[in-house]
Amino acid sequence: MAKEHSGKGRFVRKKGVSLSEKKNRMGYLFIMPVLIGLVFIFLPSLVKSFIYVFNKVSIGFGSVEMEFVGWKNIYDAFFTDTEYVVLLVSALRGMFFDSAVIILFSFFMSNVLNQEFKGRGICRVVFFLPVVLSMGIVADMENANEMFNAMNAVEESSAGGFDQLGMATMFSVANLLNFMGLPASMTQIIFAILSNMYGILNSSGVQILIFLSALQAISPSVFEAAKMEGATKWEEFWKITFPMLTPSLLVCVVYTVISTFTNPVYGVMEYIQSKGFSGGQLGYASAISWIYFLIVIVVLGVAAAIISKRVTYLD
Amino acid sequence: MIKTKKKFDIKNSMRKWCSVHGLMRIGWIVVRTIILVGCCYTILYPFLLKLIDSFKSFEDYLDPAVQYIPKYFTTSNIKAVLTQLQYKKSFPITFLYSTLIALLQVFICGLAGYGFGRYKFRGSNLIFGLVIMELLVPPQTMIIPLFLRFRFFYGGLNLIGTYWPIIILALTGLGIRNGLYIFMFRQNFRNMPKELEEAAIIDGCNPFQIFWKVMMPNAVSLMVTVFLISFAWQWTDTTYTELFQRGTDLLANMTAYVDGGEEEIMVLQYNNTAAVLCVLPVMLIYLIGQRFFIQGVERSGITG
Repeated sequence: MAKEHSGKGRFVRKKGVSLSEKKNRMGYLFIMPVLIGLVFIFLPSLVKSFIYVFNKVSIGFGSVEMEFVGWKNIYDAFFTDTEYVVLLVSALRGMFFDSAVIILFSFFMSNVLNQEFKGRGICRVVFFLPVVLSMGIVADMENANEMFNAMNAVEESSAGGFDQLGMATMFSVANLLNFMGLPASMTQIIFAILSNMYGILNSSGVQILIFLSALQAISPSVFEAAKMEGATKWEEFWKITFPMLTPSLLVCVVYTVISTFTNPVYGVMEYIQSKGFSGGQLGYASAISWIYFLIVIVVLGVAAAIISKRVTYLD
Repeated sequence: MIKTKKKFDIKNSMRKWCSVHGLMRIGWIVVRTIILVGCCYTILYPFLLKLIDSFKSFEDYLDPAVQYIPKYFTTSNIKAVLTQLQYKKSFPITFLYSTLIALLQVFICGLAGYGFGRYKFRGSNLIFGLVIMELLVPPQTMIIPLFLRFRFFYGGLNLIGTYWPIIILALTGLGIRNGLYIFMFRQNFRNMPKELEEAAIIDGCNPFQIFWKVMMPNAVSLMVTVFLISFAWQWTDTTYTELFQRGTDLLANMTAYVDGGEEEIMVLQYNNTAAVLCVLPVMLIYLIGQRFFIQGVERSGITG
């Protein structure tokens, strides 16, 4: 239909096309590969996976066989499947907590890495290392090792070493904080953050990257002007740096929510794959992944709506 | 004047450091150093541990005196894992394949980013919205139809188990997180001065020459950044590789066949060694390209 429309336009309004409009049509050529991908692979796949939600799908000889079952897959996900809802709730809880911590942490770290000090270059190299390394093979291996260690920890709880020592000091720190009058819930949160520091550092590389590039984009003359007006560092941060970073905050929130959602730690992704490929229930796997997707969209929509109200654009 | 400035002036430095402001400054520097060193340690520790572990022999694990540095230093594990990974065959293939995919992605995403950033054509916002949508849809939702699409490609071709699926995805800008690259390129080209383009037009360039000869050379650092990220993500990717390319000689596939034998501790160690061997080349390339990488970050100017 789109093709017809553009074709029609070309013949009817040939005289009316302005030079800039003609020039802008070149844009289609530049995005052609991506457009082809979107039209022939992305959108059909998206629509298909949505159709699978309402079908029982099986791979036959040379084709895909579908049998319409209506809302059964979705009903099953919520009321028959004993694992899915539990996984979903725990993933949601973990996601809210983790994304908040990751965003705050990367915001803070990008500001620190933007300051001038000796060894800044090395620090940046190390901080961006997880961007390159934390996905795929390494993450898989780490998960496998964790499972292995968890299994072995029950057997030989007397083994010494770094982890044991680390845990012991952590507990005493928690006790100390409790003793000082901090509520137990607070110490639990601090404890959770500290014990998950590795995970947080590993998943905040791209966010630090985005914030840092936004920080670099602020022109120094703005700060100079503020200094001339007698602004303190504190005021500079809240009146200049923070407002200038709000657009990238939006990008970061979107990226963080997506990447924490697809984090294999929560097990939802693996569960979907196991249902779909080893279990052969392609329709059901589609249904549970769409439920997941819709939840992501809702969460993102709410988050984006809240943040975009406060976003300040320069122009 | 310059000479006296260089000299250590105790009065001045006392005034600088021994006030409330100065003390806060010192305090902040200390806190900052602790945080940075701690974070760097947390990031590097597991990798260094794995690296050291891969030189340990079985006796080292039995010896309680050995914590970090192996007493019975050996390279036999590494040799064993190298043969199990078929490194001689899988390394060049993975290297060439990742390079090809990364180059394709840089080119296609650069092209698209230029189109989105420099031209305002009908429906450009809608199409760009779809590109962002690409990022939003979790891989789980797309994996099944994508798998079936390549299982029964146009005309019933079975592309699963060949190198084609990811090449096709890269050619059409649908590879791993390509939406992010397109977004970065768009932002980058948007900020380029209009005068560059106008000068090129006056010199008689057509739009593709402008893109290829004027715009791309100005985006070298971003190109290197995207190349590095996409190279590394392709190299270490297991999701798409496991899905589409079972049976090919890519390193990510080979790690599944590493077998440590009977002893549990050796199974763990072989897995670690395999991970180190897979990741080491990527790390080296990152260290070589990091100068561009960080420059590219600074210039990409992603401001939302």
